[in-house]
Amino acid sequence: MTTLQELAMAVSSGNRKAAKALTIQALDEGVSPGDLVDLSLVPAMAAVGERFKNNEIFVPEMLIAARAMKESMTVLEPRLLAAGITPKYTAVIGTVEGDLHDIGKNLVSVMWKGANVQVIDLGTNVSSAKFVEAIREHKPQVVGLSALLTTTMPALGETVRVIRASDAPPVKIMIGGAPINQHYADEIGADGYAPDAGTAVDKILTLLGAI
Amino acid sequence: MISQLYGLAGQTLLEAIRRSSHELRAPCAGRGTCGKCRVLVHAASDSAFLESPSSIELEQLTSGEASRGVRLACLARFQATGEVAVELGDDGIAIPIEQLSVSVDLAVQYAAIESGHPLSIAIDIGTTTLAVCLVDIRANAVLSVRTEANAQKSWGSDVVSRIQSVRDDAGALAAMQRTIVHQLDRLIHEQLKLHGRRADELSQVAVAGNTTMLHLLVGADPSGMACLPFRPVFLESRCLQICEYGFKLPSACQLVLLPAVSSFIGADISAGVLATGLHRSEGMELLLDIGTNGEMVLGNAQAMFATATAAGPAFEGAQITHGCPGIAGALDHAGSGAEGFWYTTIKDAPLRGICGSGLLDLIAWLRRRGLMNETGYLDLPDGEKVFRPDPDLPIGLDQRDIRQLQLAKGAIAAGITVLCKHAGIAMGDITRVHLAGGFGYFMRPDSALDIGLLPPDLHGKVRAVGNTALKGALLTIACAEGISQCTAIAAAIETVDLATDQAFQDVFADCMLFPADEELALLSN
Repeated sequence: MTTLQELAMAVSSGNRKAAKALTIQALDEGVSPGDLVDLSLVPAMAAVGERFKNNEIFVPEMLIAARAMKESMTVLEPRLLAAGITPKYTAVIGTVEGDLHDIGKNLVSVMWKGANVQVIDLGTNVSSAKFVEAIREHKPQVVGLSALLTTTMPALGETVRVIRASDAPPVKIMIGGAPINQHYADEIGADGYAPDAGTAVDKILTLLGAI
Repeated sequence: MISQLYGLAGQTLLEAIRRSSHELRAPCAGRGTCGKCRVLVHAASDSAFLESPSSIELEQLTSGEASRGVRLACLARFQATGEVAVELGDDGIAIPIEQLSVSVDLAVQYAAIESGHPLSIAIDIGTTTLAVCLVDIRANAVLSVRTEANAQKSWGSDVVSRIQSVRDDAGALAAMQRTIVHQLDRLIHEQLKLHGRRADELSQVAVAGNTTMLHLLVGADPSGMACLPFRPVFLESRCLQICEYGFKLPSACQLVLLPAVSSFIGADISAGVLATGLHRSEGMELLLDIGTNGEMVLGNAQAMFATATAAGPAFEGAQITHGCPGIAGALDHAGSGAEGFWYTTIKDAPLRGICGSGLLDLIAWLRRRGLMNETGYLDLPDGEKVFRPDPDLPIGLDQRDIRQLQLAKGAIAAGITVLCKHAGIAMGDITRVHLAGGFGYFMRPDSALDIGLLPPDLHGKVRAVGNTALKGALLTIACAEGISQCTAIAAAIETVDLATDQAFQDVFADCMLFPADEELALLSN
């Protein structure tokens, strides 16, 4: 097994120590930081997303894998920065106004990072005005909106409406959360919906035209 | 049970049911997402009054069901005004019957004798079930207790769905209030009649319940409690004239609402603390009420911390494919014996679904047999995807159901962990766990430990204590200081918000896992 394959294994199984050590080893072997991301971390997290989608693994394993990826990224970031390599795509994500739940949103966020998308996380209870402001500032290709309660679902529709009506640059909008389904996404005019964090990766890549 | 339902063109069957004297469990409050409000429309001629099933409805029905005339009440819409005969199904929930006793203060007894109002009523309004208890204060005796499913079930099975119903429909608040008042009033009058007593003998009706239930009882708008800043209309104890709220009771009779702590920690929990005596204990004790919400209080005479988790729906069947409440035919217990795997159902009726206690037993069994690993991955022989307790019936558990259970049990175990951290104690320092509520009564503590719903350090400390909310309400009518003690408890409890706790996400994820093999072996000793 090559070092990159070993690193991918370490990340997908959540072995933080090995992930860090193998990242350093791969760099020492002369692998470029960009290749390390594209050929090892992204496929590793894609495999995690696939297994999550198929119900083979669950939230704990996904978070553990994300932590291992973060260890690797901590080593890589200065090198990527020095080489002037930045993710090709940017996404803004947040839980809508009135709602404090953030675990679902955090899972989508780590999986998007795993697909090498730069993610700007606005946190919870984010007003539509704040989303618009962030879109102006970061010019993302995609915005992700999350809501966990049936009572905060209406804020999804409201946020979509405000973003569309604003003078912020055009952006694709994805929504998600326990009470959401495709019918609701269509109803409020969102561009995409995903029932879980694994599918959210497929969806964002489709919206980005990246696959 | 066949019911005649009159509906107006444009109404759904569920809307027609809500306006009738009938009830139907509609866990998602008619959003068309849970698929649990199945009804059978018998005659083809009746079906003509209804629009044909939409694609959204058909997605949730099997082809066999669709051809037999099964409909989802929240999606089936009248296309013409008329009457249809529908079978709503027997939904009687098994509620534990407890021996309740009361010990009335002498001063309260004397006061009852002098006032000429020797009777009182204690009530617990749960989101799913309610209990009404008639007490003879003068005779120092509980005369009887009646329990029923909360008739508001047509507006959703959890508090958020009920609140959403109020937000969606201007008439829902008044309709839900009428429904609950009518139900309680009937249960009170039935018991008075049973004992040959008169309504004018009643001195007070003391009510415990979660904050939303008490709002709905008096027609206060609960909308503010479902999103930030989660503001209730009232929390404090109230003393009202009961006849002004639609009860057919004399004006001298008072309606006393017990005090709540917050939107999520209701009067049922302050009453529960009063009943268990947690507020006077020396050692750290835990009150755990796993009803439709999972509320918990950790503390002793010095300090008390409380939190709530939205864990209940999985245990009451709402998010489990074949999940159901504790109705006849629900698988309630399972395990291994000399002859291998066994299970029992409520009332020994044919298997219809799996209720909370059955879910715990089945998953504990799968874990112990190695058919599910500690991450919750289901690994059945021959590549089977569904575990069927009875191989000949379609009822079973699949991987998705286990994931739902992991979320629910993870939330409760994480809540306990976070409370311990706030109290500055180790889990092992807890001296006693009071397991309250119907689910606590039916579930096997060993199964709860086997699946990690209760952390292993609580082994040997768990005691089912029944309906502590009702027992607390009883105490407020039996003791002169009862209501003031309950108010002091509500004031002393410090609430802990899990959503803003930085450590919660990691703790929650850890608690979703099942005990490892070594931990299981330790639990067996």
